[in-house]
Amino acid sequence: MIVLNSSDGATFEVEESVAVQSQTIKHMIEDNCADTSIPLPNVNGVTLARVLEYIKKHAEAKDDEEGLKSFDAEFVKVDQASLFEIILAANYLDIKGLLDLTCQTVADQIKDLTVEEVRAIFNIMNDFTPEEEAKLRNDHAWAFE
Amino acid sequence: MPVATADLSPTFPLPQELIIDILLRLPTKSIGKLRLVSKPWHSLLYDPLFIKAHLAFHLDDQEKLIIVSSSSTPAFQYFTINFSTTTFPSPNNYVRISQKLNRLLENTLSSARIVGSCNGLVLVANDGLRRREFSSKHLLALDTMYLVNPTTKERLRLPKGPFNLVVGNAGVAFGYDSFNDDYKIIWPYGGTTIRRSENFVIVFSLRNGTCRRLYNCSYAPTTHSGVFLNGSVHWLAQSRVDESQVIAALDLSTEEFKQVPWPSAGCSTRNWGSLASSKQLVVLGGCLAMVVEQSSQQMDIWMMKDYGVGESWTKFGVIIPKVVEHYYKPICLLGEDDVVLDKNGQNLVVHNLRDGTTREILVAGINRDTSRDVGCFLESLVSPTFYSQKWRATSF
Repeated sequence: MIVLNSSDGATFEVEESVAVQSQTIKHMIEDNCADTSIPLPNVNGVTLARVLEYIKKHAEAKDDEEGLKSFDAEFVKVDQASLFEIILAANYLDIKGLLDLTCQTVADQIKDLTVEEVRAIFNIMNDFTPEEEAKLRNDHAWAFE
Repeated sequence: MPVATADLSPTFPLPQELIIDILLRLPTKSIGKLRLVSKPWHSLLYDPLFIKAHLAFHLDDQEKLIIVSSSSTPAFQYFTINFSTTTFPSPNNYVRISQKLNRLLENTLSSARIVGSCNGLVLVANDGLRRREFSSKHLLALDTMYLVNPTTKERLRLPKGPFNLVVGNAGVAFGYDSFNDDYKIIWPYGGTTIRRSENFVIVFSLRNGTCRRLYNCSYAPTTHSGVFLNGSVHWLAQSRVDESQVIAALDLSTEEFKQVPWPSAGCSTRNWGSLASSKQLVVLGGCLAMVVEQSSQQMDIWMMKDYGVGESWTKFGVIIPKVVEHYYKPICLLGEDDVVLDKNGQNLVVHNLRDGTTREILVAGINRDTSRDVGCFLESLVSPTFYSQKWRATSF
C-alpha cells in the first residue's frame, strides 16, 4: 500500500498497483522516494479523493468498457471549479486517461458558448477596441453562422 | 511538442498548456469564434503551429462533402453536407444540404470540377469544357485552379503555369509535403514513350508559386485523378517499362517514385479487365482503395487495409443495377463501413460494406437538373493565404 499526503494534510492509502496509473507516482516509487509516504503539495484533499476514486474504478473495472463509460460520464458532472482542479491534478499526477476525459469535457462545454461566456470562464479581459472586434467578427463570419 | 509561440498569460484558472489541450479538441468553427476573445488568444489561434496541431488532432474526423453545382444563374454554387449519425441514414433516403457557401468563388466559371482535397483544402478546377464524364481529355491549366478552404471560406487563385504542352488531368493529385510544410499539385505527363525527356511529372509548390519537372518517372497515368495518402500521391498508371498496370506513387517529401503493390491474393491482372476498364483510386477511412467496373452490373471495391502490403487488399463486391451510360465516382467512407459514391453527377449512393446493400440518396436542396461534382474534405483552419504569401499579390 502507498500513502499519499495532500496539500492540506489529508492522508490516503491506495494499492501500489492502482497508484501507478499516475506516472508521477510511478516514477517516485521507482526512484525510491516513497519510503513512508508521498507528499503531493499541489493537490488538495477533496480533489485527491476524487482522483483516487477515478483510478480505483479504472483499475478494478478495467475490462468493462460500458461500465467505465457511464462511470466517466457521471464522474465529470461536477462544478466548473472542481473540474479545473481535477484537470490540474491529473496533469500534475500525469494520469493520461483522466486528463483526456476532463479536458474533453471542458471542450464540450465551451464549444457552443459565446465569446463573452468564454472570457468569463477563463477570466480574460477583452483587449480589443469595438472597431477591432467588429472587423474580426466580419472576417470570421463563417464561425458565427 | 511546441504548439504556439503566442503567450496567453495571465491565465486563470488553468496554465497555458492545459488551455491549449482543451482548445485543440474544439471544432473549427469554435476556434474561429474564440479568436475574438482577446489579442493573445487571437495570436495563438492564428499561429501556424496551433493550426497544424489542431489539424493533427482532427485528422480522423468524419469528412464532409462538398458539392459544386452548375445551373443557369448564378454560374456555380457550392454546398456542403455534414454527415452526422442522427441524420444519416435517413429512412426517407435523402440528405439535406448543410450549408450553401455563398460567394465562395465569384468568377463565372464555365465548368468547375473538384480535383482533390487535403488537410481541409479543396482544389477546384475550371475545365473550360462542359463536363460530361471523367476522362483524361480535359485540359487543365494552373491558373484555372483555385484552392479553397470551405470551412473558413478562404480562397486563392493559383498563378499562371508554364504549360506549353498538353497536360491532361489523368493522375493529377493534390497533397501535403510534411518535410517542407508545403502543399503540392502533381501532374504526371501522359505520354507512353520511354524517352527520358517525356518521363516526368510536373510539381507545383504552393509556397513558391512555381512549377518544376521531376524526371525518371516511368509511370504514365491512365485515368482519373490521383489521391493523397501517407505523404505520397498515388495514381493509376501504365508502366513505361513493361506496360503493366500499376499503382504509381510519388513521395512528396523525398520526391521519390515508387509502386504500391497491386492486389496479389487470388487474382491475376487479367481479372482487372483491360487497361481501359474504368478504375478509380480513392481514400476510404485512411486506406488506399480502388473501385473497378467489372461489368455493367458490377463494381468492385478493394481496400488496402495495411498500406504497402499487397496481401492486405480486401475485396468487397458491389452489385449496382446500372444503365450503361451511368458512372460512379467514389467519394469517402461514412462511419465504419458505408461507402459514399456520386452517381452520374446527380445522386449520392451509399453502399454498406458489411451487408452489401446499396441505397440511392437524394440530395435535397440542389436543383436536380444541374450537373454536379462531388468531393470530400475535412474541417480545418489551414490557410491557403498563409502558404502563398511569398508570391501572392492580393487574394481576390
